Amino acid sequence: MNKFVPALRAGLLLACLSVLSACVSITAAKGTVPLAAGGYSIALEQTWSDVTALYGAQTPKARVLTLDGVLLDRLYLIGGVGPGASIVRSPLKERPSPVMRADLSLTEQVEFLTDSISALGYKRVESTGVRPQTFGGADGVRVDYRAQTAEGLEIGGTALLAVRAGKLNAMVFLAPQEYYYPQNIEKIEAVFRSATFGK
Amino acid sequence: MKRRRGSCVLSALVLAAATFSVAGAEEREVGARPAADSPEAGLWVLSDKAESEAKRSAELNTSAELREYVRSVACKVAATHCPEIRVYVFDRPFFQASMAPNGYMEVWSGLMLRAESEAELAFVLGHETGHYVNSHSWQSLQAVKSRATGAMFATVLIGVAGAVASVNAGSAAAANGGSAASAVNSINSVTSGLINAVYLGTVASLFSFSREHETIADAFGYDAAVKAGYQPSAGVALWQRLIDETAASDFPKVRNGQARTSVFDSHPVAADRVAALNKLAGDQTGGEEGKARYRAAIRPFLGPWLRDDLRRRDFGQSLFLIDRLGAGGEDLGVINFYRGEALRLRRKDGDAAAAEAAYREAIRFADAPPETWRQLADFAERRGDHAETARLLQTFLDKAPNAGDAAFARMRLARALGAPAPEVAPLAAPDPVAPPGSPVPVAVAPSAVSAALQADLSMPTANGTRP
Repeated sequence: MNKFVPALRAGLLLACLSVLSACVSITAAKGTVPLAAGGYSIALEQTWSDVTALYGAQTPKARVLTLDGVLLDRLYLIGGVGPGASIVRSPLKERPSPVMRADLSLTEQVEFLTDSISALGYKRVESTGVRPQTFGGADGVRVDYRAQTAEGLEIGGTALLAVRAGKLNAMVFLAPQEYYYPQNIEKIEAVFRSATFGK
Repeated sequence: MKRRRGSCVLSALVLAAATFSVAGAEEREVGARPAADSPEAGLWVLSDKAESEAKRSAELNTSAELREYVRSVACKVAATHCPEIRVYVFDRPFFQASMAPNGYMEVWSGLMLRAESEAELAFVLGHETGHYVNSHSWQSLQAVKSRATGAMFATVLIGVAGAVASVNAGSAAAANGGSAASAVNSINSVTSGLINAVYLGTVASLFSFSREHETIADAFGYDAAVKAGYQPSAGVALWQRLIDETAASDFPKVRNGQARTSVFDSHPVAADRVAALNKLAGDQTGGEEGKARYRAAIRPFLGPWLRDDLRRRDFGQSLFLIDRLGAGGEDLGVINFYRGEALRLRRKDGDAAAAEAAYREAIRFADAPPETWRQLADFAERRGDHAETARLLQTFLDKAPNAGDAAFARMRLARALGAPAPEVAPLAAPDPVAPPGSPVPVAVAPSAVSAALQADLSMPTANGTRP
């Protein structure tokens, strides 16, 4: 059984982490929500749960909000991803996450975001409906997504991204295609419209 | 092959072991199932559950033709055990195949991309069948269990392995080759979030084989494939290529490690295993290779599987694979496109020019994906070559008018043509019930763009740039 001591130790570690996770604070978000790293803010008309504390290790450059729970909808507010940085942090050097580059074409910016969503664990992520759209008054790109969870649940998504001062900013909404995506898309449109960059 | 993976499958294997006698000297009987009150029966239930979950997996390849093809090859090597086997192909960019005790077999796309012939696939499936027929999973569990029953032990092990996977445990446990923890760490080091670590942890915990088991399975796979009429040298060729691909990795840690025939593999392919297979093959020649038939079976999936492979972001290995896939001179539109993609994403000195050259080579062939022209348009746009940008984008749109980024391409086309910039969508709320991917209104009138393009292309300048 000695061979399994490390595994048991890791299991205990997980248990400890689970207990500790209960101490992580989930706060309410409503009204003007600034995203300091990206230099933009959004306005929320209703109260969202800010679960950034749960996801900070995986997406250090994102603020993560949810209306109905993280398994049912997620809004990633990503800001200030400069050259050399990633949206999703990889735990292993041998499996790097997609990296932002200064000279990405618009097509490559969309690819970077799409691959980052894949790196979050979503499967068969497909970008659709790529079109120009303003982001806080700046030229941006709007993208819709189709994806699946590992278990095969169909996910709908939409994102608005823009590169400003060499750094990528993006708002990404992901939710099950059944009910939660169509139910919330108008609220997301309002959030997207509310984005403003500081002076 | 080696330690399998196959998620649940592995667990199933353990179950099946119930039927056979202990030390593994005997092969399982055809169609044998564990007695309902045996320790293995619980594992069989786990295996059935895993198979049930696999059917809902987002990564399950739904092509009936591909599944039937792989099943037919598996049946040739499984011989009398064929009726017990159910094959599932998964779109996962790692070298992996496995078979559970209940006959549930997984084959991953990373393996399908790397095998170059039906004979090589047959060897791998024969290897898996060797673990299955010899109940290696059950033997492995028997070897480590102490006070607990096999089923209880497995249950605990699965939980621990899943926990380890979920927290991405460090590599310390990996030193204990053959343990569940090492297998899970192996998974993590290889897959890193690309696949469900907890799910795979379950599988890995039950499919950690000893070096002896791997050697036995190699020999079994060799015999089964040769008996089925396949080329004797297939196994050696495949294992040697895996070693060579490992050496081509971008990452020193991977290059300095050993080739793995499974993401659950804690006993990698070493020279001694290749030598053992070489000895078995001796100077035997002949046998069926089935190269053309194999390529025809995987051809429809080359593009999506290569796209998945690039997401591993080990471009050295991807380029090795792409070179191998293109060595026979087939599918060069697709192959060169993905060579270009790998080079473009790698971004080493000289890669941009090499990527463009690869795209240009790709469009010489009828099977080049439409995106090839869009990528070339990026290069032209960066050079400020508006006419070439427009021509390439128009070709892209002609070939893929409903592409996900068609609206965006039309905007770029208009810009390249000097047409009035398309109106940027003012964030008008879309139809709330329209699913993502619904057609997007095009801001630029296609007819106007077409007319402008025709006019533009009718007046090329000497250097091809826009007047």
